[in-house]
Amino acid sequence: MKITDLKSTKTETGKRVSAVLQWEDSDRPEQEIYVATDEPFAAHLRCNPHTFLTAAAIPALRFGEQRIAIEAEIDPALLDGLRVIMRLLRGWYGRYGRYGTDYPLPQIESGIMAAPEPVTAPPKAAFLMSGGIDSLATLRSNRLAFPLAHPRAFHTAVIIKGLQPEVDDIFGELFASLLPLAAEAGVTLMPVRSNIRYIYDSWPFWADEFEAAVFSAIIHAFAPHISSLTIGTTYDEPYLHPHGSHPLVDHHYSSSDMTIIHDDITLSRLEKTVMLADWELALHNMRVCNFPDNGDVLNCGRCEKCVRTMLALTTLSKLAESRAFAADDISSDLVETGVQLNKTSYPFYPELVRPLQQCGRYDLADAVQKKLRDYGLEKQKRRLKRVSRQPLTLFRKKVLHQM
Amino acid sequence: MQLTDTASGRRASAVIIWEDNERPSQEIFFEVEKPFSAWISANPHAFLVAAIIPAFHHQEKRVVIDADICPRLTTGLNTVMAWLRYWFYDQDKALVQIEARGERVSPPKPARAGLFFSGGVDSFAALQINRLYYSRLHPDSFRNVLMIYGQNIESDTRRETFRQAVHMLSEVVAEKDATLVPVHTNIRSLETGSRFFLYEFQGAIMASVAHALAARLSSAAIASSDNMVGLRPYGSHPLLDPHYGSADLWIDHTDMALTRLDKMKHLADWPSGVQSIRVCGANWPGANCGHCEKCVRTMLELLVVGALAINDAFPDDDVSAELVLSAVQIDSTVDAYYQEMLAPLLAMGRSDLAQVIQGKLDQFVERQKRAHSRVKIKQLDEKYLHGNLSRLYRTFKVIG
Repeated sequence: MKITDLKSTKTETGKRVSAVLQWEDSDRPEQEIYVATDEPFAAHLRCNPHTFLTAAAIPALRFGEQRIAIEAEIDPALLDGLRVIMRLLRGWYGRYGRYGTDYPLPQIESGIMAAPEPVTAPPKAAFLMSGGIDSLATLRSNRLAFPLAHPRAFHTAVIIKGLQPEVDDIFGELFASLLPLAAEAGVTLMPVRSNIRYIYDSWPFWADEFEAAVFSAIIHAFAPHISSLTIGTTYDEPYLHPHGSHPLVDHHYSSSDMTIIHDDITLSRLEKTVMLADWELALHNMRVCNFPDNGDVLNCGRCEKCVRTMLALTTLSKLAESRAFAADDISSDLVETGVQLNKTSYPFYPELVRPLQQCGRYDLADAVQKKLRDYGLEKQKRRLKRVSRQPLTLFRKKVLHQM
Repeated sequence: MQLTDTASGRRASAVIIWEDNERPSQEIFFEVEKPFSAWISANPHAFLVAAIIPAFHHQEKRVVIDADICPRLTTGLNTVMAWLRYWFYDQDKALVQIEARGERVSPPKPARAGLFFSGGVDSFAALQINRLYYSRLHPDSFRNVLMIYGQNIESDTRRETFRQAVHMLSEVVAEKDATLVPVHTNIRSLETGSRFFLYEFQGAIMASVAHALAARLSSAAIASSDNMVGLRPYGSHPLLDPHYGSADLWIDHTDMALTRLDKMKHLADWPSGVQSIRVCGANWPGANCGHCEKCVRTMLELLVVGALAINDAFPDDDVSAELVLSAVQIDSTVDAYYQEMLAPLLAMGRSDLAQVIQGKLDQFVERQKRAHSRVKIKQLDEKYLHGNLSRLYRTFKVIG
């Protein structure tokens, strides 16, 4: 792969930086990728080669490119980090057949930056703002832990258009709903548009491998004005699994002038919700739904993520109070229809059972427990099926193969 | 917390008073020699990092320190304790509350990167790799290497041995334009257990030493022992070490993408480095014995990269199958190191060694399978038979 045509252009509303990806070993069309922002923030947007290399590395790995060539000087810390991440992904997903242990890693062909330009401005910390539980809790915990003068205290909330079409459709409403919240928390809400997420439009690729690379690529375009980006964790430590944003991965996307941080690993989803329950603006403006369709209300109130959040708010007696959801209550029927457990959603449910019982909602606790039991049984069935096939596979390998 | 000049240098010390344990008060210290006196300070972060893991281990409810602490460090220490709890303790175990006077906001300072250095393969390779990829102007280019006395109490603890090693290694790292800073500490006296040191405490000890030198250092790197594929819960780990950092001192865990053999290949390009490695568990930082597991493993690796015959760091310039047979005991902490040596040994015509290693690996896999089966049976017994099978087994064992 070659990364070429790096350029900055003025747009009607602000500024845009872009580059062209030319695939060499994979039969994919040339792609222009970009990061853009609006005028108040345009001065801080830079055509940074780190952005485009970070964006291209993981797709290049996925599609078996032999090299990633970019005519620019790259910080050795980022070069080293990208190599680590590619090896890590190969190690994680090799067992699923996605990458073999000998799968070649793309060689990065670039110049090496001798030393980053000295930064004179004070460091400015940013975090990703989606309006969801994770990002709001990241903001809340940062404000509780860090005095405003601390370099890790958030200055900027980055909100990205270009991660999911359904959410992009309501980007304006979402941005408007988060403005008062950002103002109250004392952070500047910075809108960014990008198509990096769509270099390869596949949800599993995004979730398993690409997520933190996209966030990091985008934020590198704002270095050195912004000095760090915090990505709130989705999973707490008992439920960590190979994922596109992970504490072993994210910080390797850092360079000398941009630190990427994966944070809040000790907080479960329910603990995060507890943290937000007494923050009125967050309670009314949280946006957890990936399929919003309700006009004024940010969340559909029926999908798995909505139901999960409504259950958590019920344990805190805050659902009726929250304007983020149309419903004041939740029924066990909704749990039955709305919740489909899988390996990514399962971790959020066991912790809900006891608090639901404690607040007298045995109907909901029972419905959640049934879902957990069914999921456990389903897993056992799959396991048994796999185990029952093993003797046959062994027989085939050891006996038939030799015959 | 205080800073005092001693006959040989300068010492930062503090007293640890246990509240929930019947343990005597302990003075802990960090000490540097005179040429480095300006490096050390009575930095509260150093003492907090030193104390927190033993306090967590011994179930102290709180650590009180009359000083301002960087909130990045406070949140990081909570994360470290949460990981250790998840790995090794009851999940209800309470984290130690950190009660500091206030929050520290440190002013920016010039970049100066350090590397923890034992003279082993990991740290030698880390310095070599850093020199390959980073210009000397880069803020992450290592300018100093830090060698700790008082950490490895299971090895040769004579001061004379340490002094000789410092003298020899200082000259070697000077070739790479790095200065060796020896640091003496007694932090391990807070809890001396070897298992505790290896699996929980070692990263904290190194980080606390770095914080004691934060007047000069802006970052300190800990070279990874394990490759990412073989990562396991351990006292120095990429999920732990960075969390010992503060806003004014970063702690990095480096080179986790490299296998031990990758590192040895880099090291082979530095002849005086490879001649000076110190790996022997019992004799460190003195001469390598040449017949313990770690020595034999390192000799095999040197053989693979073609650097054993010219090496004075070990008594022999070849490895025999008999030596491997008698010295090597493979367990889950070292199996990956041997696995990666098989193909290169075969390729260089040393099938005698490859066969012995393969036999040792097979024995290890069998042991693991048996252990795994025992655990599974025990789990099923507890789940479905309320432990009756185990009781029956114990009864027969007593009768038998």
